[in-house]
Amino acid sequence: MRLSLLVIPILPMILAGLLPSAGRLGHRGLPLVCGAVASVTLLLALRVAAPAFSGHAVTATIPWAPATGLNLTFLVDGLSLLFLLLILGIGLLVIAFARFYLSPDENLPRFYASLMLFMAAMLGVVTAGNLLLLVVFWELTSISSFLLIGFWDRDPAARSGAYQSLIVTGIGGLALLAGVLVLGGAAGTFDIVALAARGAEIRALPEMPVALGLILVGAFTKSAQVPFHFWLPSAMAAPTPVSAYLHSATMVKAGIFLLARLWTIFAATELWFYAVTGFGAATMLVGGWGALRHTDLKRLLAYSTISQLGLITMLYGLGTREAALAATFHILNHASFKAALFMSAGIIDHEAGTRDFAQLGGLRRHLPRMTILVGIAAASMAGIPPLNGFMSKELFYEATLPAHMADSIGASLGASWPWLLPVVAVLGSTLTMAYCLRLVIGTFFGPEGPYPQHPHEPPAGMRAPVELLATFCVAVGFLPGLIAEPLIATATSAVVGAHVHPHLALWHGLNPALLMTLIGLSAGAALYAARRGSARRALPPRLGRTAGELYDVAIHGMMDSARALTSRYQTGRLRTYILTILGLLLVLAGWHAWHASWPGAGGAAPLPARMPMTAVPRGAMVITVLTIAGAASVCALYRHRWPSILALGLVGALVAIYFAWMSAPDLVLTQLLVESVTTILVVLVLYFLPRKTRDREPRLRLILDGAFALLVGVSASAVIYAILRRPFESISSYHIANSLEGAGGGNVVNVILVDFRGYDTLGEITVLSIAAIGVLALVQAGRRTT
Amino acid sequence: MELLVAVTIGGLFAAATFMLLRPSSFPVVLGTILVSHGINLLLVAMGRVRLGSAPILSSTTGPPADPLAQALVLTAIVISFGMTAFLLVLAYRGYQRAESDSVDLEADHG
Amino acid sequence: MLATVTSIVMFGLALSMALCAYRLFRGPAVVDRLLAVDTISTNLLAFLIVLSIDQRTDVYLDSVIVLALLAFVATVAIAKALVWGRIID
Repeated sequence: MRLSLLVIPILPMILAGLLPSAGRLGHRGLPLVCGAVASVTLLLALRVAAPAFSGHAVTATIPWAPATGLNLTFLVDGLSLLFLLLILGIGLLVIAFARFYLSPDENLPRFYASLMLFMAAMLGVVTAGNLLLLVVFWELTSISSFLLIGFWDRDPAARSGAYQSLIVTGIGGLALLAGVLVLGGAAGTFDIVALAARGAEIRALPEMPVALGLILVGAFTKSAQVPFHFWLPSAMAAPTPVSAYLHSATMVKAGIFLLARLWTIFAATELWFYAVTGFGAATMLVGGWGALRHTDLKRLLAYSTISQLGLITMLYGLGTREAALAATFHILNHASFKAALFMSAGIIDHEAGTRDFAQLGGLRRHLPRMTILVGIAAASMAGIPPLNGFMSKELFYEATLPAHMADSIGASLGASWPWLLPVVAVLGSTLTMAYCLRLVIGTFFGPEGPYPQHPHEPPAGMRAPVELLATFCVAVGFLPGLIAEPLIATATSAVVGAHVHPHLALWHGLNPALLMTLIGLSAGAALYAARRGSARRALPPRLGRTAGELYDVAIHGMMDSARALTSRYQTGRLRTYILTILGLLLVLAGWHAWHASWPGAGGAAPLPARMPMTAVPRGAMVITVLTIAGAASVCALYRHRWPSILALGLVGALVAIYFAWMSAPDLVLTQLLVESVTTILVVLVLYFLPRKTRDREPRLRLILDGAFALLVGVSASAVIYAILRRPFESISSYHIANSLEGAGGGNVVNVILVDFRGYDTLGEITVLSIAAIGVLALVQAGRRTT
Repeated sequence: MELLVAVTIGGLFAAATFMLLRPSSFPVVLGTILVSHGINLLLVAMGRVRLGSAPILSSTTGPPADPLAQALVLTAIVISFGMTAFLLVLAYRGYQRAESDSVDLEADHG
Repeated sequence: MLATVTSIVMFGLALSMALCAYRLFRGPAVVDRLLAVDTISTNLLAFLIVLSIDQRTDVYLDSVIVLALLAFVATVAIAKALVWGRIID
């Protein structure tokens, strides 16, 4: 039990709660505080998770709702450790970058609060040891990313992008919740460690395909896999620090993380192999194609992210340990170069005033250092030696070779179409090389564009995070064994559930992987060269309708049909509502009466035997009732208002007599008092209302309404009569028995009101106060307007 | 006796339904008052009909009438008074604002 | 014996209220309606008292007192309305 694990997600969350009221700290103080908290969390995480380095998972459990299997279980193993370092490390760099990027006039407390909330949610996702808890944090990432993407809320593109990401990832979150519930319900536990230990048993469950399918929908929406990828380019309306954080290292990696978490359980199933590999490969190609098509720098990066995420997904889908190793390594590499590229895009936007390729080009003369930094990061993305991206690409190629899938689920595919996966891999690399060239050449080389403002080298503090990340790319390339190997080894061991000893090196000898690298790089360069000079416009043609357009059609169609349906039944006419409600009630009552009267018809339970009638009513009672009926009909039928009011008062007074017959003295008193006040109030209001009574209504409508009202009355009478003739065991015998002894009151009704059910009376007083406040507000509003 | 109770409540409901279907606000408010009368009678009756046996322990000899139903109705009477007051003022304000005592949304608004 | 008497009296009072109700609705003059209200409240009062005698209980007498007070105020208001033509001033 290491309860300090809990502190990891909670510390940033507390800060997120405090920040909105900390505007006084200013644009220098806010990032400083956030950075300090993130650093403390990082140190704490390293300390707590020390055993995870040697392959021992650290867990802590606090019971929350144990009956439903929901516990605050936290789990830190090698995989969590890798993500913890990414989230907090890149988070620190992003905070430093945002310090220089965001203008002091922005609503900074809100920005940093959302950022820290997001950080806390991501930390929660990667440290959750219970699938339900993971879903909770997962939803929190959706909400906080919505806030971050829509940070510039005056911009319609930011708003719609934020909505789109919320709706897509929200739907995915629901699918994930359903999948987790199916899985947990079938397996009997939501604990990840317990589930992982029973992998073979779970794979044999009949519910497995449903659960896995739903969970994959959740993972694919989050990680922007085809066909849900379109939200990521729309989310580029976010401030650049947000894109650098959410869309390179964290949010979009949550789906990948989930795949890695469940790898030991599901990777040996055919569904996993074909679905995850297939969608991953498709995403890789669609993303690469899209990156060549768009002329906005950030959109290009978004599509390249989609493509790289597809690559990682595909690797996890293959189900071999080599593939899992390559995927885990590429998570780290992609986070480093993509965060650098997003920040560079922000700097270029900041300096040149545009992100559009039509206005960029030739920036190398103005931003020489940025040219080198972006060149390094893009080369790493393209997989050019000697950078870190090259090494994970090599591992990727190797994993797709049939020889490496011989004893896995993909063996049959490797045997029948041995060329398929390697060709897809090379194709993906070709596209990657082409868009990397487009990125670098289109921005920094060629003729100078018509920049909206004169570009300068950015301030050193803004460039420092990019420099750090680029250095990391180079350092991992040259010293992989020292920097990356221990971390990747523990992370991969945690993913596959067995000890893995990778040997990361630049030179693996002359092998098929190196050949594939060379083919990919040269084919990509050739593809770009074939379209030479066209960096400023979209390269390939569009392929049919995009998923984003289908999304728009679906959303608009849903809104329109909802509006049409609502306007159909929300007519704004009280008459229609009352007729609908009471008519439906009549139909339901009639249907039940039919079934109750003919027991063979519906098999309803037999009714209890009837009681004898209480007594023959006395003459005075009959006359009182007749008078009530007469007064009520006068009230209803008279066209003048005074008789209506008088009749209403009379009904109230006679109801008091009725209460006296029914042995309810307190009700008599209350009824008399309330009735007189009501009558006075009605008379007062009548004084203000228009003199003219009702418009002449059509006679037919009056007759039909009368018939309907009579039907309602007769049905009510029949139902009430049927109920009153049946015996009934009241719970009030307890109150009668305890009233005198327990509460010291002989009047049981009063004792119930003030003692047994005193809270009901409190509620009644509250309702009355609300009504009084409402009346007062309405009257005063009337005074102000007149 | 039970038949008489049922008929009374049914009559109140019938009159109230008719008034609730009218297009101007005043009868609708009166209709809600009539409905609450009917429902109060109904609730008391749900404790079953007992004549001459108030639920006051010192004064009754036989089994007393159901005190719980009566306590609930006492609350209901007071609350329906609060609702009536609110509806009346609402009707008054509605007429003052819209220069019309119609309870329906105008067609061009919907 | 007492039961018979109270039954007859209650019947009479109820009938009287019904007849007053007719006057209340028909009018024709305002005075007719106001007097009907006054008579009905008095009848109501009497009815509750007779009911208490009939059921040999005193639990309704609180209500009777309140009703008597209300009826008195109502009578004063009616008298005022008859003399000056308005109730609230």
